[in-house]
Amino acid sequence: MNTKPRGSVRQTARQLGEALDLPGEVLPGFSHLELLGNRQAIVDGVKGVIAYSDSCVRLNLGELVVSLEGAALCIRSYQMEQVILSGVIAALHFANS
Amino acid sequence: MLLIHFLRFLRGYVCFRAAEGFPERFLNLCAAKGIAVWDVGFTDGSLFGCTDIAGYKAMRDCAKRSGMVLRLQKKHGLPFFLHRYRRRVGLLIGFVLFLAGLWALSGMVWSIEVQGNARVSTEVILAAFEEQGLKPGVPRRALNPVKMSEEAGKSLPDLSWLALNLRGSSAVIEVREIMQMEQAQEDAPQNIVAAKAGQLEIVEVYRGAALAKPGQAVLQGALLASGIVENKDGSARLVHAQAYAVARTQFSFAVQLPRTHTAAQVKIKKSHLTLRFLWFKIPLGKRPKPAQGELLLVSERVWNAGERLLPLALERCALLSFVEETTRVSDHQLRLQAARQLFVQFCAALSGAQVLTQQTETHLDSAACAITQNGAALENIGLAQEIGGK
Repeated sequence: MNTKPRGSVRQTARQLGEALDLPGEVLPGFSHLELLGNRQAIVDGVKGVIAYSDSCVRLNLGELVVSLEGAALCIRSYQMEQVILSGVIAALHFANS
Repeated sequence: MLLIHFLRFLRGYVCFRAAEGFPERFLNLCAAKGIAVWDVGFTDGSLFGCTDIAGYKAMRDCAKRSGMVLRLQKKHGLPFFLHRYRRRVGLLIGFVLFLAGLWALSGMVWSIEVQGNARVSTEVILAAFEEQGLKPGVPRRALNPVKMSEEAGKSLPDLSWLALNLRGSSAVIEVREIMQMEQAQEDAPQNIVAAKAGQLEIVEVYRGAALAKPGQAVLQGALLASGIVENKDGSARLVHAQAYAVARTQFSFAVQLPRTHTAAQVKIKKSHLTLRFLWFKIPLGKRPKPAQGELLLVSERVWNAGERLLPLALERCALLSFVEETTRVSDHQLRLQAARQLFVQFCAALSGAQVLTQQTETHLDSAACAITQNGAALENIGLAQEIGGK
């Protein structure tokens, strides 16, 4: 049985979406990250929490891992793959998972 | 955010603390199970946050799988509040009665207000609407404002327009009165005669035949301008004479007031209060009955909340008795009372006149006070008199 790799299906879908001018949030593999100053971050498409403390939060976004560093970090809400994080955000790092 | 807080309060929520184990795994398991968690913090090696009631029950399994010890910190919301007072039936009954009362009262007319009337009294308008069934305490849904306004308007001929508006629990009757236009009969034949005796200073005849000249002395009732005008052919015709005749007249006013006078003094013999709620009247004591020569004065004070009238009023019945008392007034008071009466006479007789000279004499003794005022004034003495009339 000849099956197509999952990564190439995602890439095809992404190319199709870009050709049709679809917004990035609905395309597979993209996460939506919104910052309100340095006080709040809204992250959509969270697959899981990798590390959590009041000074650093690492979130698994599928293809990416985002690290938010700062002070008094607090998860305001975590449901339906959405995390609302508040506190004093000092730095934002991305890394491939 | 306030709405979310309110919804959480309605559904109820708990605050928890989870220690030891793997907090990240715990959070991921919660998210995988669809458990809503919020206000999640991490201090001193323990995780704390809030979740709903069903979420906390499902969270135990996640805590067990992630090796965390879950502790309930605090319960919030309406379900816990109601559970706490579940044995207090009185509170529940009171609350239900309160809601029922609120629902029943909100469907009733609490107060009736009349706006826009000046000549037609409020009582007359309220009586007309009461005949149609509008009074405090009637259900709002039983009222038909358009029909009631039409029917009430038939018994109020002095109103040109009226409308009944229901604003919440208040009924507002807006009215407009008929403008009374005095139709001057300018065609009726009339003469202009002297209203007072005096010496004419100005005579201007606009219509009719002039019969007096400036400088001429006239007596009261003398003809100044005639409404009978002679034509060139010798015949006569009747006109509506109009003239402006100013004469120098003499005036004299006198007032005499006794020092002692007898007047009926009003005294409140007994008073009685009645509490009124909508149409219910609760007497607070025995209502007095007026005897011969006594009067029952009823006044009502309606409580209000801001501009809104409440359906609660306090009715006060005062039994008034009249006692005749002879009082003796001081010199100052007597002089003031006499001067006031003289001033009233002066204003009534010389309205619109120009006073040229005046002399006032006051005579005060132990029995009375007499004030006399004499003088001269310029005033319009022209008075219309219908031909053939008085």
